[in-house]
Amino acid sequence: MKWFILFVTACLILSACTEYRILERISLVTLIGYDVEDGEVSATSVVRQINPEFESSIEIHSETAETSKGTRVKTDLQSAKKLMAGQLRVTLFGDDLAKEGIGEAIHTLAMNSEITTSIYLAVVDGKSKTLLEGKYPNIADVGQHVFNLIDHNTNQQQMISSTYTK
Amino acid sequence: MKKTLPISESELINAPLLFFIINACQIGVGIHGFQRLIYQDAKQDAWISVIISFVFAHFIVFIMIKTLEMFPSNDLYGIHEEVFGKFIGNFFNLIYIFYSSMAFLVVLKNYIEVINVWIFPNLSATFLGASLLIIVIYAFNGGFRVLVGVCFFSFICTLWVPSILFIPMKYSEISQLLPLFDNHIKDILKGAYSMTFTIIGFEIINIVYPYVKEKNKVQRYVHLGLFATLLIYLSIMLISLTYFSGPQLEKTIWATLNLFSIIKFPFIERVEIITICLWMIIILPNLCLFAWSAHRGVIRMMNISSKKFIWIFSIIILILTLFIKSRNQINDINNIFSKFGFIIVFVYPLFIYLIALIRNSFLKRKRTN
Repeated sequence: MKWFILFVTACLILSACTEYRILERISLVTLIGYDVEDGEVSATSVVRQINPEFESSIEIHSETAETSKGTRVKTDLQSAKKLMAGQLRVTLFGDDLAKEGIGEAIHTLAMNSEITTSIYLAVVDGKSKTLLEGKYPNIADVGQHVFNLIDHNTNQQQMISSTYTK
Repeated sequence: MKKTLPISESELINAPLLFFIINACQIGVGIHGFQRLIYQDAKQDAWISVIISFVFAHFIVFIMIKTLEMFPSNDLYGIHEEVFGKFIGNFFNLIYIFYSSMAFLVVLKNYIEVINVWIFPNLSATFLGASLLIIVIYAFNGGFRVLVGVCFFSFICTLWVPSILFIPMKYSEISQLLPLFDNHIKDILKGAYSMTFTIIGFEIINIVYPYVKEKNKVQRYVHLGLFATLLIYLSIMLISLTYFSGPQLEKTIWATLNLFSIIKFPFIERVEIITICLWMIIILPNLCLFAWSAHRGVIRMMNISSKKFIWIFSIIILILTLFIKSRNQINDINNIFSKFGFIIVFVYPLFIYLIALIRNSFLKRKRTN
């Protein structure tokens, strides 16, 4: 009986301690593109909003800050639901950023426990911002499109897999 | 204090269960990242180091059991008191209790760190430690036979680890193991020495021995348990060596978890998160048996009930975990612990065996005179 009481109190006290993520209350970042803009980093993120009543919508945010974490805070300020990077599939780098070296950028990605280690990395010819913000009448979700583009070519062994673990 | 503590018939266990105890006690947090430590010394021959370290372990276990057989109803603490007398014996007992508590702390701290890095970066370490300690207290209060049951479940949970690693094997390159025996034998032995942190745990036989019903079968099942651990470690080592490239392995702290992280199923994308959560069951016998081993020593020195002991013990450990914060500190304490563990587990049994042999022949001569 004593143990039962301890168990129940432990359940009550401990249950609220972790952050929980409900799909309808968060927005999912599926793709991020990084560029250099006047010595600062600019991040363009493709955000998918899940709504049980309507079709899910795609938003594209672009923010500039000194660090990639700073851009995340700024993007969070612009969106109604909390941003979550758990479904991030692809990270793009503009070629001007890539020329300066992507080691630091990959390091921050690898240190984030939210993000899986098998995301695809790619370098864009030009700026990733112009690629993502462009209007494509035939493509509903540019994030999904880029992911499928890399994924099927990797699976068919047309190109080398560009994740950092595999 | 009495030299042998009475053990009731209902607390005894059958010898085959030793297989699970040894296996469960060896596999803990070391397996998460032992590849890097050994690779640093032995390079692509690291798998040979694993085998060598287990050859040593088999030899040491043989010596340990030989020592225990001279005093059939005593554990290591009792042997100390009998061989060295009360004063020096108690001193050695204290060292062994300290060793067990340190092992407990190291396992707990390493597991908390893994959770903090891989799953919940913002969860406080104190909270995690407290919740783990509550589980340990709960299991501990069940008595020795419950702890053996925990060991059994832990073994079942480790079984799927090598099987799931067949998926990364798809990307492994067998030629990474070549050239064989290219490194100096000294480096390979150094690698075997680095295995200490991962391999220790089997010294629990020192404390479990008086609880075994069929004493003549102890050797067989302890060696079988060690051999099963060898198979698991060796398979993980071979897969890591062929999967990772050398410089990559040197920079990977938790290579085993990285192996898990590329596994992807349609219904669950991040297998490593489930693995780490399940790992709690794998480290639970480590924690419980080390706490229990410290308990067996403490009750020889003072009159304390097991319930009171485990609460005081847990609170002390919880306070100690507060002092270890950064990765560097954890790395340091792991290094200190593996040096200390090497002396306690691999060197000390030889010493005590020699002392016991001399003492017994001395007594025999005295009796014949």
